[in-house]
Amino acid sequence: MIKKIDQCFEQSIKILLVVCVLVMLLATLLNITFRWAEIAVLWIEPLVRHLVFFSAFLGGTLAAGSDQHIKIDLLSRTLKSENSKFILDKVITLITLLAVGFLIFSGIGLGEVEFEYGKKSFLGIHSGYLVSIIPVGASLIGVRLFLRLLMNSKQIIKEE
Amino acid sequence: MEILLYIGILGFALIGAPLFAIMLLVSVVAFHGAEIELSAIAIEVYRMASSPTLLTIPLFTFAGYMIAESKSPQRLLKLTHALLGWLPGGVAIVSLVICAFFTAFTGASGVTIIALGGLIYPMLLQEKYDEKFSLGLITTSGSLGLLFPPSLPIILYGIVAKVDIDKLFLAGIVPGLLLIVILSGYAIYKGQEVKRTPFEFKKLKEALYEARFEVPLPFLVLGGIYSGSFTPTEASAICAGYVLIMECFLYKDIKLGKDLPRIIKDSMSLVGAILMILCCALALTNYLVDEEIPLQILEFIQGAISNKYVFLLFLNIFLLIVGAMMDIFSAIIVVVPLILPIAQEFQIDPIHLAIIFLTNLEIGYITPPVGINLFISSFRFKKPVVELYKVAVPYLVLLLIALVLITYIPQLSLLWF
Repeated sequence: MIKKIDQCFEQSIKILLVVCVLVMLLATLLNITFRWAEIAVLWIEPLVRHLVFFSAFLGGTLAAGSDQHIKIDLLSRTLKSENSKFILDKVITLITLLAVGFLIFSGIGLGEVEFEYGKKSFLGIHSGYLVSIIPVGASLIGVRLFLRLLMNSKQIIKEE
Repeated sequence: MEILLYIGILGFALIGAPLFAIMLLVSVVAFHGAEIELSAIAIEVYRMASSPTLLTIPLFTFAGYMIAESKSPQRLLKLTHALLGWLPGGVAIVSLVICAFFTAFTGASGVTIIALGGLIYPMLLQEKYDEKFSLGLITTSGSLGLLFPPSLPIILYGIVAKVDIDKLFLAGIVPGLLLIVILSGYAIYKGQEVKRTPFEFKKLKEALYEARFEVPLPFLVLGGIYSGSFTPTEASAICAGYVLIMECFLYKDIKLGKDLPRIIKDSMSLVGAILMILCCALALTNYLVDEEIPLQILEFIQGAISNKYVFLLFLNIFLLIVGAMMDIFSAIIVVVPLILPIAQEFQIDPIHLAIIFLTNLEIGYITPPVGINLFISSFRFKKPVVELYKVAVPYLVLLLIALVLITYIPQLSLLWF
């Protein structure tokens, strides 16, 4: 069940990423064409930058599910038993979840300030929505980590 | 209390917690200790969205992954073989050149050894090259080409150190070629006994025709940047667009519906992992700069070292250790902001420093005991890692000679400026 939810979640993130990457690619190519034609479209560049920013969190969400995040991996290489590896994985996932929790909290704080004092940015989008990429993106990573935490437990129970 | 928390976080890093989480936790402790609101972390993280060159990272990586997933490596291998196979040590030189080209596009993320190792290793053995030599060659080639444009570590260095990426692209060419020439010299020496493949114009023509769409790619990217037709950011979009059309519509190696989403997923997982560290590090490095930590390190170093050349020697030793212990992307993000002001005090040109830095990390990939290429090769070729340590030694020595030349002859990096 948990694994299914995780797979659906990963599939949704994958679709979002495909859309983001193709839009940023097409928009930048369009911007180059406009520049050569001496037409200035000012909203394309900030839109693309924010898409890259959002994609960082989406990519981070995928990496969280497949344990692909960059780390200094000294201890797990020396561990032999599956049990020790499992416990270590649990501890690391919890630590990461805690760190992501701080980022969500920090992002919500900034979002509140921006919604109160911010202004409209490109395409009339309020800056509050733009900074909300941080808590939203971090929450996606958090959900994936949480699922990973549950999924592994289920697998262990099933094996037992 | 704060010190205990830092020790705890260091412990988390050593047991393998993701670096972005480590940086976030350090930032939380540091900001809390300095009585700064935690929302300041989000402000620093959001600064990444204002970087104009940020787009180069996902698009060049996407292009590199598409090339890796297609039949381009085979076509390029055939072309370089037809072009250079007649030389003594020809096939080994071909391997060096093709791996360098490939790494420049895939960013030395281990993809070269995984994707090309399976093609090159049996080819070298078939040509009767020594097994140890062949294994060492592929392991070393996995990071060769890191100094060539549009390599991801160069782009990341440019973003972190605020150095022009187009200047870094130019600066890396001569040192990158020097590394290939030195290793090619070794390949010629080891390949004396090996039977040579005679040069055939017909084969070259055939291979050139097969790779007719790949050949213009580096010229398109670099030519566009240096002719002023487009910026490095735009070049990344043109490169990705060109590769997409080439692989999906011209060669039809990649299926739009079946393969493309998987390639986007794989490439963006890496990009996400890198950018997460980058944005979390922004908060931490800004805090370190505000607290004048680099200045304190500088004062400490100046107390012990006053000579520029001695500083360069210690810098190399330090970076080799960093390169062997840390992933290249995190090393750039964490270490560059600390050494940049110190190197400036010793009047080291920032572009020269970039090339020294990246060369060291390139060598770090094959430096025992934890150089990542050693583990990737051990996994890919099913050989014990200790065997990889032994085969890497001659290459390590040669690359260290090149490093000395790159460090102490700044003109190699600054030839174009």
